[in-house]
Amino acid sequence: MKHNLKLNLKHIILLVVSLVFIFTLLIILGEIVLRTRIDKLIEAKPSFNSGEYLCEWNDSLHPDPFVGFLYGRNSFCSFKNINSNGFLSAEFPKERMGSDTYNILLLGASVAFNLYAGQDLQLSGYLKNELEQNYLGPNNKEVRLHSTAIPAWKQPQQLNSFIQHGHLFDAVLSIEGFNELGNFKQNEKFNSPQDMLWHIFIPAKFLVGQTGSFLKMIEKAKVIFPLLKKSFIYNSFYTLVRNNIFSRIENIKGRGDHPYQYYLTAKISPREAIKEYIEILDTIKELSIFNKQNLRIFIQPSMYYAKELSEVEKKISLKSKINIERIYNSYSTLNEILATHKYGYISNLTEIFKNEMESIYFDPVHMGYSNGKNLGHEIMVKRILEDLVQNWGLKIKN
Amino acid sequence: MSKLKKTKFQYISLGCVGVILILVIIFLGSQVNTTSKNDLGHLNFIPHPSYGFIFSKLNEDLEINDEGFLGANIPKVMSPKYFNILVLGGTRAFTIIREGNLRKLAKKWSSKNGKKVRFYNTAVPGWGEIQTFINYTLLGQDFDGVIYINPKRQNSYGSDDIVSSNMSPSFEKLIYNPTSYNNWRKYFSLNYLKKSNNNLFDQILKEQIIDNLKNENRYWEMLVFLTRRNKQQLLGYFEKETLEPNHLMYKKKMLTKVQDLFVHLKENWGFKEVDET
Repeated sequence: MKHNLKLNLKHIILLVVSLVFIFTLLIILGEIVLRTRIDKLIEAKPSFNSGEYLCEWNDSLHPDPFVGFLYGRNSFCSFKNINSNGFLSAEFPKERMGSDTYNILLLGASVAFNLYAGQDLQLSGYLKNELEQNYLGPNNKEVRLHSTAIPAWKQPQQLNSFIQHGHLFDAVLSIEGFNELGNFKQNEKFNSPQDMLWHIFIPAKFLVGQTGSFLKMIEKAKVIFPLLKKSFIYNSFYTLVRNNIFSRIENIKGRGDHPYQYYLTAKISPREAIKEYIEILDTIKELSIFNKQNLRIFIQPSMYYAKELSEVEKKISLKSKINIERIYNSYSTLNEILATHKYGYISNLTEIFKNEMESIYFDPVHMGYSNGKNLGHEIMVKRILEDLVQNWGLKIKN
Repeated sequence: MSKLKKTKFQYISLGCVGVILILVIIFLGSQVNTTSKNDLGHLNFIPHPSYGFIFSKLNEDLEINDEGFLGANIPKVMSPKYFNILVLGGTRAFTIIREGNLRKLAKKWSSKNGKKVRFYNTAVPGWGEIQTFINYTLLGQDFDGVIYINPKRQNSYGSDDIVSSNMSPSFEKLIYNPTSYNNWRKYFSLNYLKKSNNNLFDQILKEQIIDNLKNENRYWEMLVFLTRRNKQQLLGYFEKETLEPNHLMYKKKMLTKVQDLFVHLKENWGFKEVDET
């Protein structure tokens, strides 16, 4: 009996040591395999239009305190050509004065990003190419387009990036509107500030989903919560999943309201949301006057407003989970507001495809390729360039 | 001999388990916030996409409003019955407001045209110029008056603090570990500390100080410009004379106690004391 006990203890220790050893060995082997196949893995880096690769789009992002998120740099899942400010763009000029080029900053979300980013990401880069190759700025300066556009951004993210970087540029143009007009939620409030950030970070959201049911059990233990708060073990657990508990405790205490109710996402009516949106645009305008720079803001079109859908688009429309009515109402309201007010710096492109019968969109807002060309981008960029020639005095190169 | 061996083996095993337990307890203990309630370290913050961080409502000893600031809720539509004032700033502004009982004092004052005065606060400890300016653009443009108490310089934290904070927080860590977020708030207060930059330390040491000095002026100038366009009164307080004293609203000294504020408001905005009788 004694002999058995001695053997058992030894065996247990040996087993634990062996398991740790095997586990460590497996990690090292996995690391070696990954590193020897790194070339293959690099080829499988993220593509903007596909989720088939190792990296999801959100893996390429990095948290930022002032704009929520921007692109990470030099990590495995980073895009190429991310500048030191975290944007897919050429490096920003250090100073505005004395530059021998006419530097323009592009603000916006995914549509602006598509029009800037080039072939590396299988996107058109059409606006950047056209502007830089075929146009000259005032005093015949070469035009250089820089970008702070990041997919999924919506105001006030553009305003915040403009506050930080806008003063370095001779002119600013923004292509936006869909995320602001289409994504605010009527009569809805976020449950926690983190939700706003999490919606873009899928792995985090997934993990939270897995722990959710366990957290519900803890919620119910609100009587013993004050005691739990003093426990070391609870506190370390709390540290791990605290943010999720945060929101739940707030709800238990009936304090579900939180700072984000101020933002566009929590407005009661489209009119109120749009009014606030235009106030943000007005602030950008005021600051561009302070910076003595040109500004144009283009409100982008959507599949669900002022477009007769082709057969292909109708099929896409049927599959879409988006709230079509909300988008239509928002766009109609915006057009009403823009018609009765004079906003000299806003160019309304919402009806740009009114007479276009061909397929333009591959989803509610993004324009797709057909026979090797992107008709939507071509029409949109043509209109934008005409506007810039008229308002900024850009010239077409000979 | 066998008995002795067994005892030794058991003692060694128990000792190992004991050491591991002590290490676990030390680790868990280090995760607990042990700062006293008298310093700012005990305050709970939550991440915010435009400001970096704001107060959590879990600060039970403070009245935190729906925007995440100390004090009453900021109304969406300002009442024309009152002279509404927004206070912008960082640690110093927060401390003055918390200790000075501004709301109580305001009851004794009236504006130049006889309106009652209401103060709303958005100062958060650790905030810098960029946060206060973004804050003004998002919340402040409908107020009648703005008091700007210049936050501590961004570079005043020094490189030691930067090194001790986690330089590359992953988003997952950030959301799962708000205690670390409190450490990162110093890092988040640094305007020009961009996480995506590979040569981060070089950038901080070479460029940050100059950039911050330039930007301190820029944010103040922009604030002056916007408040003028919005026809708002503005009163600014600065620790050092870093600005050209060409603005009427400019004060060369930092506000040290809230009682001095009335004297300044009287001089600059024509405030009066209310006759309580």
